[in-house]
Amino acid sequence: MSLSGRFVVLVLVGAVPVVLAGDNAGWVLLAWLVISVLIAALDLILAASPRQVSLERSVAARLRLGETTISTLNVQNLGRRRLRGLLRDAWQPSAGATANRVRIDVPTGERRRVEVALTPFRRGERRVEQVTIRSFGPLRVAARQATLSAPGSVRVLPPFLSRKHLPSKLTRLRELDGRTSILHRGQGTEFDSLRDYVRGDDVRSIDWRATARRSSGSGAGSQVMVRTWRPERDRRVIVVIDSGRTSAARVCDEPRLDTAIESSLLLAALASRAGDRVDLLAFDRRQRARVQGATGADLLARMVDAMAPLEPELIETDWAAIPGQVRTITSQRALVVLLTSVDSVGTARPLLSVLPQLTRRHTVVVASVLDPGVAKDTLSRDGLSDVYRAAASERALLDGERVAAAIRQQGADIVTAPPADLPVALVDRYLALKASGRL
Amino acid sequence: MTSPTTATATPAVAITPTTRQWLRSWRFWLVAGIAVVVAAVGSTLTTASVGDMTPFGSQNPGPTGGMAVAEVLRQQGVDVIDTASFADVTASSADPASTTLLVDDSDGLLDDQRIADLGAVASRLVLVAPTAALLEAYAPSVSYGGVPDADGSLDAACDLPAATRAGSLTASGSSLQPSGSGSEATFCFADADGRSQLAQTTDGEQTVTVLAESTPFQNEGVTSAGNAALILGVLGETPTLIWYHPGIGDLDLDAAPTGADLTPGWVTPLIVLLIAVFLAGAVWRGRRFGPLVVEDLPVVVPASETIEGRARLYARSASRLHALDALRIGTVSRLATALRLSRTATVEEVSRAVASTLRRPLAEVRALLVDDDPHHDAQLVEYAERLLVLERDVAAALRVNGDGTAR
Repeated sequence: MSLSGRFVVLVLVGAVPVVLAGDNAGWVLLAWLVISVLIAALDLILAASPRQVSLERSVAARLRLGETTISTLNVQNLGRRRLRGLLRDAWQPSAGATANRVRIDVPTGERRRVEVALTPFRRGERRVEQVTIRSFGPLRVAARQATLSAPGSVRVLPPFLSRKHLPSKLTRLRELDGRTSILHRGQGTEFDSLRDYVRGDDVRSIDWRATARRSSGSGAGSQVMVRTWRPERDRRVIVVIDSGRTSAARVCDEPRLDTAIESSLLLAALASRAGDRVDLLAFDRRQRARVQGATGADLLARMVDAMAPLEPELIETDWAAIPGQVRTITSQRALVVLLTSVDSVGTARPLLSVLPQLTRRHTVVVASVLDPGVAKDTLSRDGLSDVYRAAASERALLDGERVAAAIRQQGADIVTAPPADLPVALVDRYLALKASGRL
Repeated sequence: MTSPTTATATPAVAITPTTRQWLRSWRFWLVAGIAVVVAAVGSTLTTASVGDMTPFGSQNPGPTGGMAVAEVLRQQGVDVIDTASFADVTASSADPASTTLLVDDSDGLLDDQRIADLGAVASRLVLVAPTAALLEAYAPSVSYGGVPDADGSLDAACDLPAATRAGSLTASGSSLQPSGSGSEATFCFADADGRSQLAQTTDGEQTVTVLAESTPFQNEGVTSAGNAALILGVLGETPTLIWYHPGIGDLDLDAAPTGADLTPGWVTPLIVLLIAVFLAGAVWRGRRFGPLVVEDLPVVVPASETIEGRARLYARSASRLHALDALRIGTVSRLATALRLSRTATVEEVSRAVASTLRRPLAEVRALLVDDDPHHDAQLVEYAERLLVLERDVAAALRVNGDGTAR
């Protein structure tokens, strides 16, 4: 049960007869209160039952973070009276349902559609469990209220904002591939094909033997043959995302984990176009997400789906288990990308201790988010506290450099960049590795 | 928007319990609550029926009451009329000559007019611990005399028949004494200094007996010494006894118009109405539209927190050299990069290169980059600033040189 503002006004209007009544004011007051309560009771009795309602929900299963979707709810009145009132679709706050209180008017036996726009502002599974209906009587003085179960959920996928970099990187990949209209020698290490020399081709790629064979065979002229090269294909890329406690830290108001997700998506998009097989693993002390054996367009869909509910776990990552996890994915040589953070020697020690196991078999790239604020802080000297801060920042940079040096010493590669640039930096490193045939 | 009813539609499962379910789940507490209220009301009512707690009240059976005396008098055939209102007193005195009036105005509620009227009610007045006004009106020759000098009982030592019959009386906490020298009153149960427990004056028809205090005659102590004999003798001389203990009703409240008289009749009802409006408004705004929705909150950890912490640690322990060294390492490595020295260049090499680039004495550069130890905070800030200036100078010098190499 609930009352409306009309009931309050109704009681307040009683002030007029009470004042006019003079000496009998007490009795008038009593009568007015009784009448008000009776009106409210009558209204309550005449209100449609908020329980005699059938609810049917339909909402998109997935959407990208930042996009808007419409959640529809079909409300059918099964009772004997016209249902007039308010409906609240109780989505979680982060589902971004701004106008989730809707006025409804459903005649007996009929059905109405209630639409609520959702603009979620958090990644992951956004849920709704209940719908509350407040059914007013014909006078709209009092209402019956009931909360009904109408579960639903929408999976909010990572935004993949770095996909804007994909076209330029694909162009770069095609250049590597030797398939571009620009006729220069395709970089790479794998022999692709022989073709006629065209002006502008690198003379170093002329295959004299093939040229000789061709001119002697057909005698059709002095066509010079060149070799084209292409990067290796069908290599494996294994992306390991560290979802442990350090991934919760925010750099530029973005958790490290989200940057890692962005980076892995861009890398996967590019690598799958380049013909490589990409597998994903999110791990802290146990496996949080895994995508294996997906190819083509399916890969990205499965990756965003797997990573959507990923949250930083406030536990220390068990690096010792990572080589075993990688081995379960492949025993071949692969590019292993570890998306983690390299802050200080202390926290990076477990990582450093397992790196040799990985580098013995695989090419390893460690990608880490760099805080651009730290470098800026080292130059501010506006007072004692600033100087101490600058000193601490300098020390932090030094620590990071020491860890990076240690990682290089173990035979792994390291990429550090601010959150906005890390996906691109990682992809550039991948392309460089591919071009030099180190995959 | 509208579609015909489908026969298969079933109502959604309600999470809110129905009134019946609610009553069932809260049954225990409802029953318990009602039981507690009933018990509280019941006990209040029963104790209230017992509860005459007036000291020396004729209905009070407690240790401080006077019920023992009243009951004994009743058994002896005295008509004891217990009252707390002045109207009852005047109404119940048919024959003043055969009436004794006990006045115990311990709360001081009687005004002068009523005190004057009391005299006409009965020929015998017994004033128990009277107020000054009562004494002034009926026994002007008696006044209070302080704490008697006795710790047991006091002998009658006077010729009042009731007092001599009683023989002795337990001493109470106060006493009476003559006011002025020419007192006509009879004083009984006096201590060595003449502070007595009872005084009696006779003015024509009217006999006024003053008792210093009611304590000796209360239920607890009435059986000691001659207390009972005395009080029964004083109160039981006439067939009717009015036991008057002035109550709240005797306060004269109608004298001046109060605030309630001056306000119109509708003010109080209006206030009640506004309270009702307030309550209705509270229900209107306070009724929650369904239960709260639960959501896990994300963890927010700024990555720079460790740096902040370390900076504060430096500041608290005032490790100036430590902080300056960190800054120097950063400066030296940046200078080495700017001067195109190798990554492994020593501080010595960097200092020399800087000194030659800026054409400054080597010792000065070396002191800034390596040797100086800041002794206080101001010095630390100054050195930190100078390191930055040095970097800027080197950058400027390299720009001027154009080729970017140190000479």
